[in-house]
Amino acid sequence: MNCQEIQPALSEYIEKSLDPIRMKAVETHLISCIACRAEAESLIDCIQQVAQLPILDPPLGFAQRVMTQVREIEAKPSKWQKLFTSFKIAVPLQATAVALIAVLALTLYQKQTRNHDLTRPPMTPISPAPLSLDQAGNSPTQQAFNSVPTGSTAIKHEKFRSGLAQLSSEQLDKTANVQPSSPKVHSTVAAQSPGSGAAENSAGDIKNPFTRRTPIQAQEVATGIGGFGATRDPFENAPSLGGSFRPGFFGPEHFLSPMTEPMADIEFMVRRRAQSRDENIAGNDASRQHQENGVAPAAIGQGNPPSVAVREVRWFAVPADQYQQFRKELVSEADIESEKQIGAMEKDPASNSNRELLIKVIIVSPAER
Amino acid sequence: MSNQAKEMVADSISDAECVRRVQRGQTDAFEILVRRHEKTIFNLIYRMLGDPDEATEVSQEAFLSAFRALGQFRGEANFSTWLYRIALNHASTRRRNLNTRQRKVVPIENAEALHDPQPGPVEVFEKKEIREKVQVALNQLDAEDAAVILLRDLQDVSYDEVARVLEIPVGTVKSRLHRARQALKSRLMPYFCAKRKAV
Repeated sequence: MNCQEIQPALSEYIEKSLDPIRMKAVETHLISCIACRAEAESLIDCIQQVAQLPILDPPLGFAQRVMTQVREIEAKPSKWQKLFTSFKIAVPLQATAVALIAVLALTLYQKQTRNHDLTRPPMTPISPAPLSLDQAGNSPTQQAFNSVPTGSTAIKHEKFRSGLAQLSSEQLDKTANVQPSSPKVHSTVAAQSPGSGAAENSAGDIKNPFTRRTPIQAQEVATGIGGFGATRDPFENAPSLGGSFRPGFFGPEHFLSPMTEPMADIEFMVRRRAQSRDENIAGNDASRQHQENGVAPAAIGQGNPPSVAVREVRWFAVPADQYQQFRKELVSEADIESEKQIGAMEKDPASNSNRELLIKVIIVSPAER
Repeated sequence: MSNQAKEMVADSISDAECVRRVQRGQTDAFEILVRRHEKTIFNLIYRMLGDPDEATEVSQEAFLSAFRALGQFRGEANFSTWLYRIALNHASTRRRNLNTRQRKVVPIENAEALHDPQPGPVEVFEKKEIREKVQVALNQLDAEDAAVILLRDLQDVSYDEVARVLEIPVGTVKSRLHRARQALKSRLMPYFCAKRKAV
């Protein structure tokens, strides 16, 4: 070993902390090397000088002064100690933070839920069935096309007695074509020609005397029909011709002049059932007189309750042997307030199976007293 | 209980037990730790600073810092090792502040004299002069070099514990110690050479 390798090891050699091999090597080198031996001696002096420095006692009362300040510290805990811990109990900062975050999150969630409920559009209530539904739940439009129970009869205007204006076949075609659910009425009515006899109404055509037909626009009736005119109800309660037309048992409305009104065989006065028919559509004009073209009895009780009392007059030409059926269906639609035979005929209208009965139906609104 | 009895009781309680007691709130147990280690800490800090008043103040601060931090002491190292570290940190901080001023060696003459039984006047003077020289030389070293010399040569702390106190490897302790001793030697060499010549 040379001097450069020996001198860094001299401190450990002096303290005898080298391994035996290195100890021997250093010792051997020092025997022959004056410089390293002088260096070693200098280091020994320094170590001894430091080691021989006196160990001094601290000033008197040092421990007491320290403990006095310790007790002052204990009496006044630090900021962190005030917040969280003494030596006895440790409240983890993390646990406190987690608790605060949980409370904050819960508060925000509740607030958001409340706001969402407030901003959500209100539930649209399920609208009730329109008042125009009939007892079977059919809308007025549906009722217009529903087939009526058996016994329908093709109503032919040309069967009216003298004084009645007759619908043109064209007008009949119009009304028939719009009623797809009543093909027989279609064919029957379309085939009708002015002046044709009642015999042409076959039994098959009668199955649905009250087959709903597409309501004829009042304007059409008023303008296109000969002998028919838009007249004012003498009582000034009938709906105007310009108003929208509603389907139903008392469907197409044909205004008849009181001067041209035929003489009915049977006259009914019926009252519509309340909240069953939209009499507002009829308006506030004088009551009208109608000719029924096979419009099936349907919801007399359709539509909204009338805002004003109106009377309607409907005319039906019903084969005598179908009278009972007609009457039965009339009862199902309205309340019969009066029934009287006007024309000269046998007591039992149904017994006259060979003729048609002209039936006048005066429809009174529920509001009328 | 007499003071002697108290000392006997205090001596029977280990540092670790005292620490546990203090952590449980028994503050009086800290006094045992103070009395047990006050001399060591005071001397270490005094030799680092060279001023007894400064050493007293810094030593108190070191103990108070230890008391405040005792809640975080996990017992992974010896209490003495942990206390040394606190003391050296305080001493190094104060040493840096004192370097801005002219630092003088203020010997504790009376105390040092008591350590020399039957000293002659010359010997007392020489020894006093040597100690002052050594202290001056220590003051001129870097704080790290001074610390390792004082721990190893003054306090006779083992290489392993020095490594734990300074938080450096043992090999680094040895190399640093050799470097520090050579630095100290170089500062003391003129005096030693003159002395040898005089002899």
